[in-house]
Amino acid sequence: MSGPPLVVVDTSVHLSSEVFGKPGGPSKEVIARGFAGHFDFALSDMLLEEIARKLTETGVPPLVAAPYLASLIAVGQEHPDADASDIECDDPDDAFVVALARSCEAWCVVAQDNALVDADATPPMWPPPVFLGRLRERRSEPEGTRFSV
Amino acid sequence: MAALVPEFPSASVSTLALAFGAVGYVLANSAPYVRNFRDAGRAWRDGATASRDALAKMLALQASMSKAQASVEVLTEHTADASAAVGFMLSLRAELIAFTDDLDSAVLAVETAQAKVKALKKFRPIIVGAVPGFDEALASFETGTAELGKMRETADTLRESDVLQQVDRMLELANEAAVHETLRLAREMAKAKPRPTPAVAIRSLEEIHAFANAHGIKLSG
Repeated sequence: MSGPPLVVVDTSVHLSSEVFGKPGGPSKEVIARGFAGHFDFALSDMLLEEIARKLTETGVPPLVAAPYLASLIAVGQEHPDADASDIECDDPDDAFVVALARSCEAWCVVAQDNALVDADATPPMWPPPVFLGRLRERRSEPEGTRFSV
Repeated sequence: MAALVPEFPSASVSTLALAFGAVGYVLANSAPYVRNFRDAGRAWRDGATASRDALAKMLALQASMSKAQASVEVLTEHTADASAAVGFMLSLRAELIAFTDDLDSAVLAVETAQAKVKALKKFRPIIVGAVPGFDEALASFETGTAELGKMRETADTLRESDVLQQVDRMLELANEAAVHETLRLAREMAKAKPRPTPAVAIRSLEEIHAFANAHGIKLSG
């Protein structure tokens, strides 16, 4: 098997309400597996900025938001933002995510946001439970294997 | 940036609150000699409460707007306090909307009281015999309600003016500064960070969640 795949994890997964809930939620498992090295986070300035913006615009202070972003920067692979002008997306604000995934040749995009979920796209865009199933297959883990911290 | 603090008719609302208080007292302490008397008294008291609330909100809002003006002036030079500015702008925005709603309620309450009083005037000959000070209270009320136009004007001005848009623009400016500051801090922390474990990363997410919970913030991507 080749090394860990490169994956674009959309802001909706980083900040889904379920990621903050009890252990065992799919979004939380996606994040935990990324930090455990099961895949590499593909990052760009726009993606980091979007996560920061979603936090600060609700009133989360920089000192509270920054440590998580610092962790992402420390483990992720940063790529330049790609031109998203020719990308058609249900939500035009998400076009940069698809552009990033294509330009860095990511294995897939993981998103909670329905506007970004499309298994037939290139690369495919999966919701967390589907992504986790594919990742387990890729890692030859027994079906139903859970990973939590 | 254009002046942010609009002219509020605090004197008008204040006069009206006093007038309501005087008439409300007279009505509350009088026996219901005529039909509608209680209704009028209730409308009067509602109007008094609404106008007193509006006055309190207005004074608070005036103070907030002045503070916002000062914050923005500081913010254009220093971005370090950006998150405090975002929090402040968010609460100011909510306060401004609540005040406009309160002012609308106060105007409506005054209009209701005016209609009831108009009906009550027909019974003046009976009331004056039973309620000492009725004429004086009525005169005071009419002086007070003369200010109603100004209140309505303020409510309309607030609704139609760009005060809210100005607050939104300031919020945008403060948020840009907060995003910039967050990313600057994150990059600085990342340099000094060994590869974080899943537990460390999840803990930093949990800290965000704890802060959001404590401040009634709903997070979503």
